[in-house]
Amino acid sequence: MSETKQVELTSKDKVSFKVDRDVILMSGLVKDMLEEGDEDETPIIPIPNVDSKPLQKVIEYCQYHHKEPAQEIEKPLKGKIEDVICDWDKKFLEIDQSLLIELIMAANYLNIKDLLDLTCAKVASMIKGKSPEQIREMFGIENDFTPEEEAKIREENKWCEEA
Amino acid sequence: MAQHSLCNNDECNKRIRSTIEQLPTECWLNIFKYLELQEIKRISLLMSPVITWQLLDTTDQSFFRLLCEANLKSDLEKVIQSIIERPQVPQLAYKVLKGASALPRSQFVYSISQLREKLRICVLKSKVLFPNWFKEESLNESIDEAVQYSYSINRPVVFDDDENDEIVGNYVEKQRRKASI
Repeated sequence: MSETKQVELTSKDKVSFKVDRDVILMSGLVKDMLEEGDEDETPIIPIPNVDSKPLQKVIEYCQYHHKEPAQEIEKPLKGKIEDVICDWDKKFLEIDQSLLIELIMAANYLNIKDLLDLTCAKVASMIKGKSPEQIREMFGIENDFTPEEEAKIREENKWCEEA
Repeated sequence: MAQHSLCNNDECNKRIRSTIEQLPTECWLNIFKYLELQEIKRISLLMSPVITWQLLDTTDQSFFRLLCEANLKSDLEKVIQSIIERPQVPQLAYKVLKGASALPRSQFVYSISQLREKLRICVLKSKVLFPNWFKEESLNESIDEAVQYSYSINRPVVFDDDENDEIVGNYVEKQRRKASI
């Protein structure tokens, strides 16, 4: 029986992960790199923009959804995201906020559409129905807007609210 | 593109950003796709100066394109819903026959043919601007359903229960007597 081909991914903080080639082909970026490169036994692919923690989560996601294709998430979300995703995805998203954001950036960089959609939908679900102040508080965003600036933004972009 | 009067990029870069403010514009646009149009309008430009700057300063106008997409989608869904939820003429006629007063025509802002025309225009616009929507089977199905329903809404009244047979029978008898006189 032939052995499954593997790929070695190296994170920003120099941690290496060995992954099955078929699994990591879910990433558009890795796919393109493998197509361009030589047919090495175990090619080493540096991922300089992603730390080991989010990269590990990305690999975990790919390993599961390589066999179980992800379901499309409705746009726009009608209710909470938990109502439309599978149990595995629900458990997968039980992570802290900073890791979630890192995961979005990793999915965007590695070009993994299903993971990007899942994580973006999670953030959308978190901010849905909240006021700008509540969102700032939730994500620790510093409010630099003075009341005048906020009013000016509303005025300048009134067309957007009237559309 | 001209710099937005309120978004001084240097100022935005100086202060320590929250993790979520580090998301690139394409990620924000993807997040907004999961929100309703009203929600996007309400929060998108008021969460943070950094995000506002990012959204308004895109060279490809992607934020405005997103608003246009959400707007058109909402229009399309509304017109489909207005057609599907319009009661059929037989149902109205039935109410009249049963003694209820007819629903006034003014109850509906648009006639069914006007709604059909609105739907046609929405679909044409969407096919030109956002052809990828039509890869979804469910959207094509609901458009077909709305079009078919809009044509069947004025079908002649067909009564099939005993009570209505009696009403129709009386009417036919009355007409026959009138004719014999």
